[in-house]
Amino acid sequence: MRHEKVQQQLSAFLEGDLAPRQRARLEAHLSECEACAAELRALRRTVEMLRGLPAPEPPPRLAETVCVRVRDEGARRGLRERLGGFASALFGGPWLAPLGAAAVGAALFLSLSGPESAPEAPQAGPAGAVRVAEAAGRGTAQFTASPPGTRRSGPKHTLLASTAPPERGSGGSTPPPLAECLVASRASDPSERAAASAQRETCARWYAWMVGLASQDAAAFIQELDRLPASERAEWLARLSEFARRSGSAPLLARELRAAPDPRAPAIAVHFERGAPATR
Amino acid sequence: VSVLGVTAMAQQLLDQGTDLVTSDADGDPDLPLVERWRSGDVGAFEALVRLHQRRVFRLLLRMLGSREEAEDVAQETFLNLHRHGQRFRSEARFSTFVYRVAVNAALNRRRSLGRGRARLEGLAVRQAAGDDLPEGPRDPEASAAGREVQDRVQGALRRLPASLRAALVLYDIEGLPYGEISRVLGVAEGTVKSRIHRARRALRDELREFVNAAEPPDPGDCDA
Repeated sequence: MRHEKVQQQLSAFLEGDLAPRQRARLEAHLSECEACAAELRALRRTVEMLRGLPAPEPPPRLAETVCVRVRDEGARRGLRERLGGFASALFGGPWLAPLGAAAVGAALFLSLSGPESAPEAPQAGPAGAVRVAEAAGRGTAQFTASPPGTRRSGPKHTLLASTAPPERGSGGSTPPPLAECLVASRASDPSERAAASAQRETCARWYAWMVGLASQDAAAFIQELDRLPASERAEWLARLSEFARRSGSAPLLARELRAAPDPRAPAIAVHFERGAPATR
Repeated sequence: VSVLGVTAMAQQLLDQGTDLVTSDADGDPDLPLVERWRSGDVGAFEALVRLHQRRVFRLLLRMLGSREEAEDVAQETFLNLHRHGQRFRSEARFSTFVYRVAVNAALNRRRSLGRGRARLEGLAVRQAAGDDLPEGPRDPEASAAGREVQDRVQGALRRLPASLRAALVLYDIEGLPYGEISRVLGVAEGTVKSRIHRARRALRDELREFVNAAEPPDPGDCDA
């Protein structure tokens, strides 16, 4: 009997997988061949050592962590749906469909895209930080948040939406307040309506984008808040939390912010927990 | 990157999923919970996680060598299950499906590890073996020796080619029958047996000093 054949059969022999005739032949061989018998002992010992590895207890928090993440994912999925629906209900108008897409896009496509440097930011992007790059001829756009005029090594946020990205209103230093959007949606004069429509769109894109950002990356959200003029931050937070509350996402955002390591995060989370004053 | 990679990988494998259809599911004890989960009961999914977490974690620890990584990939495994659960075919055992998602997440994780991680892995292996020891060693010397052996076994496992390691862990540690391993790995039973045998021999070579093995005999006749 050849060693090579014996070697191939040893594992099966250990498991009792050999047919009776094969088994008898192998046993006869092993009783005469010390080398093969030693090999069988070594293999058996190897299996014993392997099976003797201690059975580890899973970390006590494993199931709990999974369950929290599953519930969070459910909440995010609900948020995506609600953001689209809420934007429709709140604003209405001819730009409704693209806005819905933008809002859903904000939640869906906001993603970390790696540590490479972000492109130079334009001077007058929203919150001083949005770069607009129109995708050629397809009505799509990609915009990237990054600190104004700087390059950084951290992750950058890329948002793909089926419409133009949020842009700062032409005259104001802050995005249009929510209340103005609501008033504007009832404007009757055609020229007023056109102006209001643009304002509504800017407003809605901003709220949706920021809420989407907060739900995905609380640290980046805080970074965006930081770029706003200090005097406007509280007002902005009040409106964002109002938007979040109406879209049903406030508890999720509060939880994300509570979990963020930034020391300012808890104070910001409070806005989403208790809600800011309603529209003024 | 790894999380996205794992998700993409799971998606790809779940898309294939047809060979999970077997007649093996008769009497699957998980089926009532699986049905409740698929009808929207998140609590049922949580119960499934608690039922399967021990074996998923054990499998991943032995596949990956580090508790931290095993925990990370275990979380991804269950999240992938939840995201893609509708692809589970109840003709197969749910536990087979769980193993399959976990093994693929582990294989994908290994591929995504860069070379920079290799140095840290040695430490991770020691940690993985050591963390599992019962607390309060009564005989420090025996305990240290036992720990060294465990370190070596885990280290040897880690150096096995991933496909061999998966088959070996599923058979010798998880105790799955050949047929189920064949469904988890998507290969024929004969291939499973051959991988187990090759893996054991490779492990025996690595652990030679502990198993008192002589040099393997020449592949000639015994009497030659």
